[in-house]
Amino acid sequence: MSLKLVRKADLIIVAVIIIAAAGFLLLKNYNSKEEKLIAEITVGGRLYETVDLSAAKEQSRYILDTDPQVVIMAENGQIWFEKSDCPDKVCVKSGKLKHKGDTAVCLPAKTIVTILGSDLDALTY
Amino acid sequence: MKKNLTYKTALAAILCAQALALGFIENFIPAFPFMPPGAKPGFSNIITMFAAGSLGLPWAVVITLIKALFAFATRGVTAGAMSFAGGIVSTLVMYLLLKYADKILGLIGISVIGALCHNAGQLLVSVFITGSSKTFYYAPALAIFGLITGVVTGVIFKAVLPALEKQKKYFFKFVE
Amino acid sequence: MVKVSKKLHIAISVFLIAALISLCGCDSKPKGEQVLTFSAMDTMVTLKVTGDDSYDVITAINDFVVDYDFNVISRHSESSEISKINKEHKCPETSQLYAPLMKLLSVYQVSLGAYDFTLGNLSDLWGFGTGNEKIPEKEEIDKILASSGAGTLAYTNGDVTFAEGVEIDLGSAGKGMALDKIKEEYLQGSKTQRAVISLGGSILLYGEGEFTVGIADPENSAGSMAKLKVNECCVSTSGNYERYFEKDGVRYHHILDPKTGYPSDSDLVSVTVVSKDGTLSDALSTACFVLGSEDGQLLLQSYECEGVFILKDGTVIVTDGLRGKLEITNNKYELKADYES
Repeated sequence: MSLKLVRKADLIIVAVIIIAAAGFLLLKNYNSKEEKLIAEITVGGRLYETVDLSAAKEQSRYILDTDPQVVIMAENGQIWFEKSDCPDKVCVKSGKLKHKGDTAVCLPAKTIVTILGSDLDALTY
Repeated sequence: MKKNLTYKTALAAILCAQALALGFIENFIPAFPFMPPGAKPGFSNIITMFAAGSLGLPWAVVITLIKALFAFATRGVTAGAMSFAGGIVSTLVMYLLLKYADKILGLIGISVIGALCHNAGQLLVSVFITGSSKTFYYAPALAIFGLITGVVTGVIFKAVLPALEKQKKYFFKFVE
Repeated sequence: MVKVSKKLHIAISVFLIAALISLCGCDSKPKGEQVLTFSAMDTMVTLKVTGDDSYDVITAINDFVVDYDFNVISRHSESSEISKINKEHKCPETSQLYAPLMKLLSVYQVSLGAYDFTLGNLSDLWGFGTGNEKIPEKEEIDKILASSGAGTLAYTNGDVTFAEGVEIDLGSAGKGMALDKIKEEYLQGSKTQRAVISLGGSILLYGEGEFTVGIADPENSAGSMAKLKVNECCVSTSGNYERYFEKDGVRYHHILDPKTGYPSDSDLVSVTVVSKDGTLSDALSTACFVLGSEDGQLLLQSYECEGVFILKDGTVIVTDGLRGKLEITNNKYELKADYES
């Protein structure tokens, strides 16, 4: 083994690692401000309910009097379509939503559940 | 050939002892303020790196396994699993780099990549153990730390290489 | 391959040394926004602190909250200051609880008794929060009401003294008292730029700029029914949905009317009070809940505090200082017509 201590590629690797780590750190700090999540339930384009998922420790159930009827459940930072009387049940199959940007739609009931980052600093109750 | 194996075994045993000793000495290095929790400099990588380069992959893996067993015996299951995962990944990668990329990368580069692979292996185990990917938040800090220790080990490696070669020759002169 | 020049070697060394120094230079303690959630004071505590010494500040507040709960305001802790006061029937002038108790006494007086912090025995009788809730006999209630009440408090040589049967309960104001201490002792004078301290639903918002506070939906307290924009202040809410039990289809909630000894039955389901003072926002929200929307607004006026009242019929009333600051996000609720501009 007659290896050189430093070659040009080494420097590139070092540079790439530093940039990647710095990028990660920035991204992490950016993300952590959005950790609190709220979900919005809209029916026919109108806001029906805002659910603070970070605070929803206990199970909450929303029975919407849409046609067809849908049942939405929220628990433990997750929200999902529990039941729907629509024929295809795409909404129920969407599963549990838990990340920012997750969305489930029931087209027949015109109901959308979306998770947004919360713009609230705190909740008073 | 059989004789050759005996000498290789003897050399590997010596290298093992040296790796364990280096790991032991590390404990006396005080924690730097910026050190990510649980991170260690990993000077024993000098030995695995040498083993991977001069004795071949199987021997390097054996040394890694013994290191992991030692960690398991002295510091418990978690430490053993961490040492094993990190060690295997980094040994394999360093072996491949030393074999195929020694004209492109210098010792520092190989050592840094080895250190990072060690971290990556450990992170994967910790994700598996905690069941939470939040551990990945440590990744940037570990990467920077791995970078520094990688450079340091690379430099030390270069410095002690003649001695290691001499040690190897001592065992192999009987074969030749 | 390119041979590494001496210059490059020097460059690498300099870089590495610089990297090491910069890493050593930064404290091991993380900076920027720190968030901590834990359970204390029978509720969920969330601390959010931003500032150069946020790590130290948030750690100190964490210790303080746990200590304040156990050693000062909790009636369940034998060694707490309040247990001592209740045992000796005396709050000496030197006690750290003296000043807050004076504040609570003023709310008792100004609210004409709609707020009373001396009815610990009464809430024990109902058993709220113990899991053994029951509807007490009317005679038992009347007996306690006859022998207690903040009106029986007296001054003896500067100390506040009270009779047997009176049990001071800081359940309705302890969190606000803690918020005041946190602000005074841990935030003011620190490098904190911004902090949100939530002790359950009692919140301290500290720092410059605007904060957005969600007001819990009384029908689903995990969700919010409105957003309220405020500057530095304390916010507390009292509602009939927080602690209650149901029997024979009737909901018995934990805010008792000191006049009757039964859960208060005003026109409200929830009141949110905004005040510079945490003790006041806590006590006033309870008082307003008992008083109802009309007298509640008058009470807030006399303390120059602001509030949001949610009525049983879904109507929402805001005080003048909060006009234009409240945005209702749930269409089950409606701002009272003459409040819309």
